[in-house]
Amino acid sequence: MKTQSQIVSITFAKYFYSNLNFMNSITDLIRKEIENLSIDASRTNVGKVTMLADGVARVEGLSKVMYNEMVEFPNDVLGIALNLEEDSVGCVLLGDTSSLKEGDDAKTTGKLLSVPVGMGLLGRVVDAVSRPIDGKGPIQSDEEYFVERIAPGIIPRKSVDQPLQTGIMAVDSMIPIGRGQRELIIGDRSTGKTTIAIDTIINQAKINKQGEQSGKKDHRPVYCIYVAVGQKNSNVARTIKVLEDTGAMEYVTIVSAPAADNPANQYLAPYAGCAMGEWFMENGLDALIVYDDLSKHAVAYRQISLILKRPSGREAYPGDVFYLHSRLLERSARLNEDNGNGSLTALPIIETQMGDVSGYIPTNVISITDGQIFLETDLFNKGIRPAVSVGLSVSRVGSAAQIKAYKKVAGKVKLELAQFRELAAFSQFESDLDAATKARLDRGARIVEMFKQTAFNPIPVEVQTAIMWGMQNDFFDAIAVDKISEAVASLKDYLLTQGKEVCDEIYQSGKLEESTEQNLSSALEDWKRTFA
Amino acid sequence: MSTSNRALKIAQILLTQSLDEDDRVEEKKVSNILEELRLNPPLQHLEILKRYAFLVKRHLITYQSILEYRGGNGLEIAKRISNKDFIKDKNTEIKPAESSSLIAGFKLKVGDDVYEDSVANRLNNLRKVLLQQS
Repeated sequence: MKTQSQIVSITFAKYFYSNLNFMNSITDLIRKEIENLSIDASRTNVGKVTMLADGVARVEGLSKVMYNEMVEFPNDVLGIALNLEEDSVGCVLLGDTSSLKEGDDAKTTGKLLSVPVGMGLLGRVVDAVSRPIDGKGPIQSDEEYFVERIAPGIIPRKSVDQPLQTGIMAVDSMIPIGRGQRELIIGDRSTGKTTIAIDTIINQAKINKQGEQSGKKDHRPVYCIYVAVGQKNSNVARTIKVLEDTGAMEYVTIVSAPAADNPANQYLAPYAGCAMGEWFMENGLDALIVYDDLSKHAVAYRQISLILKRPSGREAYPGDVFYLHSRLLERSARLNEDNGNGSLTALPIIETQMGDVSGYIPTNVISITDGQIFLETDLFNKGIRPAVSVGLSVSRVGSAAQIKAYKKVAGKVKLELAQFRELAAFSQFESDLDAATKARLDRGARIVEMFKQTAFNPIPVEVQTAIMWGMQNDFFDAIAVDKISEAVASLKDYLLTQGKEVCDEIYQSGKLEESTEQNLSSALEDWKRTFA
Repeated sequence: MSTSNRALKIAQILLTQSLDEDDRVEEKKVSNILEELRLNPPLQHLEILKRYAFLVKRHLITYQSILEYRGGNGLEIAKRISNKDFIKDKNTEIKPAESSSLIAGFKLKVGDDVYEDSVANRLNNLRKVLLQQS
């Protein structure tokens, strides 16, 4: 007789064995399903580092890498593929390369180098790949632009006709710069090139604030980007301090690739800055970019090219050094209304050696830009600052980039000054001069004095107009030449305080009408009495 | 022609002479070439040998792939992977090798391409995302 438990066991065994085959088929089915599951594997293209030198790595492999693609090295070091050869790839390295060694793996990322763009960058100091270096936390930006981009073509462009005031009388009157123009600042070391650029930035900030306060309908703020390439860190720090002290920093982004940075970062910084500027331009805003300076940029590119073993040409620069700067500066433009009406103005800086403008890089950049402000060491040493050489400086945009009021008073000044320089040289050998020549020399000497201006002290365009009007209408003739600078400073103070009404009139209308001239005349008479 | 180009051209000729009918490097042919070069050393012997080694290596990886794995049976994983689209040439040899650095998963190298689905790789990606956000 079987017990109850035995009966249960036997029943279960019968059931189990009868279903065993069925269970096996089920598990097989699941196993097959697992096998057929897609494997979620990431694909990368890899290579091995075979050579490392001065911020450049040669990598074997990377057969599917794109030109200018970002390549990832160990310890989160990034590089850019610049040389695609038959059996290897040349990459410039960004960041600290001390941890890399021969035999390390390099991986493609499938991405081209891009930087964050937008309003979140204003007031910030970033490195060549837009990483913040000012200790103010991450950059607030939800948009990125490729560092290398194609310049706007012919159709979306418009001719330059809106002024971009630098606040420097010598520049605004004789070499006017327009929004969307590329104006080169060129000169020997320590002639005030950076000062002109910084003054321009400070002036934009002042105009922006003035426009915001006045509520002028057609006011268009100008945002600035200052790209420091191969500069001393102390110089960059000084620039930042000046911009902060003058309240301009809130409209400025600084891209810094100092001399201590690797050449790849120095090579990339102008392109990164330009991408940031393009965002403003493409969003219907106006921006100004300063490249300080492109001589050091060319040197960094030469270093990279020589290590990459690219064929070298004149002064050991590679053959595409012209394209290096032309593709950068062509990205500055004024767009037409259909494309947002934005602009990107460029002020590249070039350092010459012994005043030689016929060097390789200076002539390249002179031919690319729409004019140049040439600064002379001799003038600088004579105390004529800004040391603008009237003869060699030019703006191809000309008076199209001046407000009507300013055009009226500044029309003849460049000619007068050029004549003065010529006569001054000639008159050294003459003892007796006729009255007309004497008058011309006298006027010239006064204009030279009038144009003297201290650093980081830009003058608003309406005040400049009033001062120039005073000069044209002989208000300074009774003042001794050595007192002209003092008189101009005094007149400037007067116009910003007691003469504010007439200045506001010029600012609002942008014209010099008869009534304005009468008001100006009485204001200047009043000032003359106080100055005397 | 520059000296390095000349060495490369010779190395390319040597490579073609090292291949069998299936376009694979044959060990016997390679040893014969090396023996011949040893007996009659050409100009730039070392340079030619370096280039030859590089080209042979590049050619080998076109039909040999290395599978690193952790967890499971290497041969079984190799068999499964060979059915996937990673390997275009179905005659490619897969050489499995266990690697503890992956923690779990696999890493397959086919030529310059690396296909990876491993815990180590996922953790690394997570680390990068966290670093970017910080």
